[in-house]
Amino acid sequence: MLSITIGLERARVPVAVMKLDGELDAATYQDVINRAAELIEQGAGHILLDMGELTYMGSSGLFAIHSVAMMLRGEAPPDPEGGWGAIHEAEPRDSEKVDELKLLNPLPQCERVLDRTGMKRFFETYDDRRAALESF
Amino acid sequence: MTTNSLRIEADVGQLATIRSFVREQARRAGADPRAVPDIVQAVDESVTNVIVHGYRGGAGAVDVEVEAVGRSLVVRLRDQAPAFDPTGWPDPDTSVSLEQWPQGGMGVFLSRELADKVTYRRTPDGNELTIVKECIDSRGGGAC
Repeated sequence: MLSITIGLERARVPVAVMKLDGELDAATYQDVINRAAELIEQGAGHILLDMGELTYMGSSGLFAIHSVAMMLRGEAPPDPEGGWGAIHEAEPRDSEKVDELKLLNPLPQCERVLDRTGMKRFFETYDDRRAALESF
Repeated sequence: MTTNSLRIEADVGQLATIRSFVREQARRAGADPRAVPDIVQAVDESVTNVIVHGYRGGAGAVDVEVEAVGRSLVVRLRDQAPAFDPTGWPDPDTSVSLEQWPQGGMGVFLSRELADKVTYRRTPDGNELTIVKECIDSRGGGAC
């Protein structure tokens, strides 16, 4: 079960805060992608993923985070059945860090998944909400 | 030595039930609480692969059996999907850029990373994956 709450904050730039509450797995990851796609379609250019209440994240959650990052960079949402051919053809950027998506308060299990898979290096992670918002 | 089992339908909506089951069995077996998330995730990733890539949305069942053997928590997964041995699957290259990020094999990679031992065998009844985590302190309650 995963609950997603959306908040809009105005820092130096408008930031959409997606608060995830519950467990992010193969049953729920598409909800994260869909909600982010809606936000981006509505004009959101910066998303802060609040993971403070996310008690479990599987590899499907990594796929969701990656998808949101790529969508914020202007790529089409992924096709879970068809794979990521289009994404794989995208040009790498100079910087590894994703400026458009940042993470807030990941719990130890989620942080370990990000760390062990090497995905952590792509995302700035904050434990202070205000600092996270101001970082965009 | 106690064995407890659970059968679920091949539906990703059942994953939370499996995680709860493994957590509870690990707790009852006296597993180190710090190691429980590892075995829970290793099982979750493996069952996800069975449901998504094995049964591919079709009907089927997954049997989960948890057993405490000495210092080890042993989880056996059995299914009747087409044969698949995840232990031979190559690790994804995670040194690449975000744009080139591997979309396959991450669940298999994590299950191997988080468990102490993962073995596979094909039986007359289907696939059998055994996941072992040495996380039970036989002296009672300490770290593994």
